Amino acid sequence: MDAQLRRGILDICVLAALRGGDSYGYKIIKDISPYVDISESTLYPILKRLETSQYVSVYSVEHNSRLRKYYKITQAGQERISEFLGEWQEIMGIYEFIKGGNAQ
Amino acid sequence: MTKSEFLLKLQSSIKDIPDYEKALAYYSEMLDDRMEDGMSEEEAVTSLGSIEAIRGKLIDETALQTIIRSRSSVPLTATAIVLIILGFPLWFPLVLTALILLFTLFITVMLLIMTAFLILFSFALSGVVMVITSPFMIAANPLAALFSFGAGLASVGIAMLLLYPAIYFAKGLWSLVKLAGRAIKSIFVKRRVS
Repeated sequence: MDAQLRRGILDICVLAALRGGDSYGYKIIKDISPYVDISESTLYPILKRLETSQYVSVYSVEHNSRLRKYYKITQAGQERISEFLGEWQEIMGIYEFIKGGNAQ
Repeated sequence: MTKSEFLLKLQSSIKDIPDYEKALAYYSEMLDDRMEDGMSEEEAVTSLGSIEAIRGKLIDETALQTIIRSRSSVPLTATAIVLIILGFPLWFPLVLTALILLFTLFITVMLLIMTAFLILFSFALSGVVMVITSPFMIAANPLAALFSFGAGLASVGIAMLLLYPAIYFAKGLWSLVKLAGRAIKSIFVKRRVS
């Protein structure tokens, strides 16, 4: 897959993984990896980017006498997912056109 | 490799990248979570991949301007600003003293030049006055009148002789002031260049 496209999709995947509830790095990877191949070093910049764009908020929770960072999807993050789905509706239309040529 | 060994190696590898502490905390958390999930320490460390790959990813994802901004030392850091503010009672009197010293030097030079011309002017003035007044003294004391006339002429002569040395003296001192000014300026220019 094209790197740029993959990057954009992974951002949305992480947001989608947070829709079901706040989560932390390792759990996000476990939740997404059945669908997309993602490693720790790939997730780190995604989380940073999502935080900077304020699609997620971050807080720390003490867990087994250490701090674990939890990520929470924001309203802007929810809207980003809807926006993505809308864009893909469009792309799917184009996909059908390219594939079948039965647009008439 | 143990977790702490891995983190130490990672730290020394990425410490030139901005915000590396956050990345370090992230990988530390990842290792803990993996171990909690049942992996051995060795397995958890191996699963994160090579340190070089992590460093490469971090550099790829950090904007160039962020790296440049963190590398250049021109903008003041928060620590530097705090130090400047906290050090105010210390550096302010020092700067003030330096400025007053410079001002004093300037005044001194100016006064020296003025003094030279005042001496010259007083010779000239007294000479002229003595020459002019000498005829009025002839009746009372011819000898004194003659002396006054001669002294007056000598005085004017001295003033005329001193005119050029005084001008050179003033010019010399003035070029000294200019030299000092240039020296002060060059300190700042050099600092800016380096």
